[in-house]
Amino acid sequence: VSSGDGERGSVVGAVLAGGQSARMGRPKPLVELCGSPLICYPLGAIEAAGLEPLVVAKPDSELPRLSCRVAREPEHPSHPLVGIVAALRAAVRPAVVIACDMPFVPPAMLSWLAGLDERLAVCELKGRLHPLLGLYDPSLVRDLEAALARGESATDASRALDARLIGAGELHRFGDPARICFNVNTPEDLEEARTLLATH
Amino acid sequence: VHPRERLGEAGSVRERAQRVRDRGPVRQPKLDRVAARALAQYREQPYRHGHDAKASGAPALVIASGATQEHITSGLRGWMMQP
Repeated sequence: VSSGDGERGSVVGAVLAGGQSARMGRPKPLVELCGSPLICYPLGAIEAAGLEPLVVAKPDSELPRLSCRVAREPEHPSHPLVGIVAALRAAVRPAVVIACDMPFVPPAMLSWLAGLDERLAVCELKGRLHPLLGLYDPSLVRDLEAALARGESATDASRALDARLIGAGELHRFGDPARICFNVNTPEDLEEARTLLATH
Repeated sequence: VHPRERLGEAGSVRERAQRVRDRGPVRQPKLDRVAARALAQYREQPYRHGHDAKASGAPALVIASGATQEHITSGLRGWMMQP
């Protein structure tokens, strides 16, 4: 079992921002949370963790002005695996993947993830996998593309590829697991995030 | 406490996001020009220092602090393609 202290060279911190934001009703990367666009939160954690930031989005995704590299994923299909594959193709290195709507992931956890030895590691909380918070090795690209072609979900692909699951016990080292895996999908989630930030 | 866990103490969630927000976009053309100039120095120095490659690395590292890997890589690519 790896401890997260492995040495595997520089790791990219990839923020996935190509989602449709259907439940939010407006582009999530731009949604304002306490004065900053939502996407700035995971980017801030990536920078604090010392990872190289990369944003992956659709060609027509609306983004704020960013100082980091932006890779454009294919327009179709709209699927989380498309963003992950695009991130790995752009990075050509292991990538710590994080969704643009996860504002509370601590830098220490991202840094720990980056040091794991596994090809694939994703978070799991209360039996639910969070494939948009994990570590992906570029050698997974073909397998992920095949999963995409079969129409598998990112969750099913993670299980099929025997991902290391990072459970609440390990997440606890870095804070409240529920808070770490919290993501902003709806206006109500955004309001909850504001409340959580007020106490942080 | 694991050293990496202390990273979480480096500024609040909100402050980190504000720093990203306030940084603004990188001016790629300007960075490319700067990188190209640094790389020209890099190319010349091995001759001055008797092929001491280590001594010639410093200028590029200085520029790297303000540019992304992509910028440096593209600068290197252009440098390598020069006759």
